[in-house]
Amino acid sequence: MRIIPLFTAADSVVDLINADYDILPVLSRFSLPLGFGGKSIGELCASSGINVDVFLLVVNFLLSGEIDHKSLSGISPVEIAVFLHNSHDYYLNYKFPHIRVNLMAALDPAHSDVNPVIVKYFDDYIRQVEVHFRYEENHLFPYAVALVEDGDTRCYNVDLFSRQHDHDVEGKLNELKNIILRYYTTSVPYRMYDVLVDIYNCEYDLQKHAQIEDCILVPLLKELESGKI
Amino acid sequence: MADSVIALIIRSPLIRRGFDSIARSIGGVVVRCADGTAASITSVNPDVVVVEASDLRAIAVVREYTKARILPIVTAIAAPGELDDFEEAVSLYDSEYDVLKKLRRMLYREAGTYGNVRKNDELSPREKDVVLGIVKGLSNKEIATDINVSVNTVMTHRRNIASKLQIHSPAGLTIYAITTGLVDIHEIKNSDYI
Repeated sequence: MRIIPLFTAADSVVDLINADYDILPVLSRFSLPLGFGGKSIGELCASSGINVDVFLLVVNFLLSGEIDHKSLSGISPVEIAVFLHNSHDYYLNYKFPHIRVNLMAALDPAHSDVNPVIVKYFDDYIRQVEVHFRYEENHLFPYAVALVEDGDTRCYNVDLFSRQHDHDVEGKLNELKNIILRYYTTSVPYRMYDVLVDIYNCEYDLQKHAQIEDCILVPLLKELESGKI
Repeated sequence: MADSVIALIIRSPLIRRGFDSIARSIGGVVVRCADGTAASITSVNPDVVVVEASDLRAIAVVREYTKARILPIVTAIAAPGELDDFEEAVSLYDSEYDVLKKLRRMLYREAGTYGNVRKNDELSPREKDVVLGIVKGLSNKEIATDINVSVNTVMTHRRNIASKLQIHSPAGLTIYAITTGLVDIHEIKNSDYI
């Protein structure tokens, strides 16, 4: 496994992307526009109104699994919540529909009996993810805002979130991938291979998303909670 | 994981020593020598036995007293049909590379690695019945009554099915059942998953 160094505000954006191009969708979730030129990470964030410490925290965590605990305390959970909200938007309004279109195009007409069942399975999966995301949008993110802005935080707390934070949703995507890999035959495999790669990437991405919630947002909120006692 | 044991039942010292030195180069194996007696063979407790193809007596003893896989060495011209029982055979003129390859194949099969992979996909007839029941939307109780077993047995079958196929949901099993021809789509038209 390649060891990726921790990035700083002085590093160039293009170097960051070259270290691991999977980080590209993350840039879009921070609403950072293309056309980086020779900008450093610090310059790009400043010109887009993004807190560079938040950006670096998330990006370094995704690339190397490291959380820089020193910088953690200076970070607002609201900015993390905004990033997570943009991620939800990315999955629901772009990535999943994208995979769905490709999946439909990849299904072999010879399997007209099972194809609708596969599509339904995928649609059911999306519905479950929507429920999962909606919970966070309706409870967790507003709670983060309330904690930071000293609003009413009596009805919720971080433990409630952790207890119900269900990772089963990931299993369904894993299962679909397994079923296609093991049991689906097709006379034109190229498209299906692409769909599978997309599903693998999505699965990994969603795991990382959940980790940001569990390992960054939750501890930040807990710290704020203990400050209020 | 414990080392695999290879037993050599080879009378010729030339051949025995040659085989011994080649076999020892494989990691994770222990090479022992045995004569063709039951006592000697069982005390070694081999996973794989290398024996001369013509030593029928020793082969019979190995078969009777152990579950070891047999890799015969052909030291003379093999009689027609003599090697039919065996998956592999080593010739005196095999290269070292080929001898190692055949030994490794025996060892891996013995450890069950490839065997397990092949078995994993195959459901028993009862397990297939359970899959059918699940896919038709029956409850565990209904399935149990249908195939005449206890509900606990059905649940055990479900666990084994999930482990073999790596499919846990009824919807997933539905796709499996259709693609493998276990069920026709018309039989489950009213299912929730269609």
